[in-house]
Amino acid sequence: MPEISPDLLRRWYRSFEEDTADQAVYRPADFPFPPSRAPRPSFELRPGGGYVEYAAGAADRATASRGSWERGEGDAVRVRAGAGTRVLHIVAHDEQVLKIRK
Amino acid sequence: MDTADIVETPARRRCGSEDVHRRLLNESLNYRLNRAAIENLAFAYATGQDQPSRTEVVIVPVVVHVVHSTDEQNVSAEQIDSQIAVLNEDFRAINADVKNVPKVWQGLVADARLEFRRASVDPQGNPTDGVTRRRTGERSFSDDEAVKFTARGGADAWPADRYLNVWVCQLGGGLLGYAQFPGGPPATDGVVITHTGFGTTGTAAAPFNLGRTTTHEIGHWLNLFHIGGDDGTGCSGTDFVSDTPNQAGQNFGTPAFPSITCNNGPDGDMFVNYMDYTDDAAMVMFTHGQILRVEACLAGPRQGLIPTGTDPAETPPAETQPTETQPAETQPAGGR
Repeated sequence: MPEISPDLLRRWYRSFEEDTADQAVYRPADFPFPPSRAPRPSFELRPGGGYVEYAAGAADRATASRGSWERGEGDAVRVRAGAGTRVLHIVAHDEQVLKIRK
Repeated sequence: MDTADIVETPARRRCGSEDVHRRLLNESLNYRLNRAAIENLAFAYATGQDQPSRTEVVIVPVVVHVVHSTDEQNVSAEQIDSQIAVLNEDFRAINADVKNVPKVWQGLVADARLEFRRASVDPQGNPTDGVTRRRTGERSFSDDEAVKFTARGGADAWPADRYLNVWVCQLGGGLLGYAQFPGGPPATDGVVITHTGFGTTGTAAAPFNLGRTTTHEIGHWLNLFHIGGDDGTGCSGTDFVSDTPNQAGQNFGTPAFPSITCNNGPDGDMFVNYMDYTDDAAMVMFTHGQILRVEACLAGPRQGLIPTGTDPAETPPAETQPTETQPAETQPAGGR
């Protein structure tokens, strides 16, 4: 069973407005985002290794690509869904914010 | 098309999963078949091979499911009625701000001839005010359809062949609303609107406090696509409507005329269309081509809304089987 901080096991929504030059910022669903007709890009890390990546869909609802995650070296989490694999380098996180190296 | 979550192949076969897998596959196959039939009918209307025959305004019975975790989210009857009033202007092209349509497109403004009323008869044949209210423990809902099921903290749909289901709740992730195209499962058919984007009073908040999120989502429910073509910012996507100009992505805020993309000058993007992504104040019209798709939708998958001599909202139902027990196979396939 892969190990990961329980804080990370949720759906995270991109908070573009808070991005910095080298960090992409994500927030949980309850964060007071400015309202938008377009769904924000988001992803979900599930207990047991499930991963879901969400992108904008045609009826304003996200379409889901399902895959898996596994813990990598150091701050890395390797995720696989849809087109391929990528590595998330997690700079900081708690229950309210997730920062990933760009 | 949003089929990604209709089919999910189990990672491995387990006891009980085979039935679920077969059901999902069947629903997906039905959805694909339904969608093909719906688009074939829309194409027949768009090419003039077939033509709308209805002469009367169609009255759409609406049930509003208010699913709230705070008193604030429990929107008032006034807020609900303010939304219905907006729909009854926008779908008749009698909204005051239709005058803001640039002159070049004024001849394209179309009347959908739809009137929305809170349902007066519930699925069991009893009188109703067309509103259900439910306190929930969910602080917010995502677009995972949970709000559409009592067992998941939401409220079950009323039969989708006879009612427009509108769920009003707190949506998470900043999402204003989402919809389901015709041809999908009846138990999830309808539109979901976050309460701060619903109606024109109460908790509705600028710049989404003119009720246009619901107009936009009902556009999807009537088989309209985004005018940007749903291919990101590309120029090859289409909404299958000939009188909406080709444009790149969706527009935001309140654009100034003209907004040129994809060599569509001199008039540019039709950002005043309800099926763009602009602020409520900027979207003010449907086109004739879009309403032809709506006509095809009403002749096909939503033909249950067409009265058979009397107002369906006033007519007790022929049967009262709960929606969620209806197999997907009974969904009208859009054919004639």
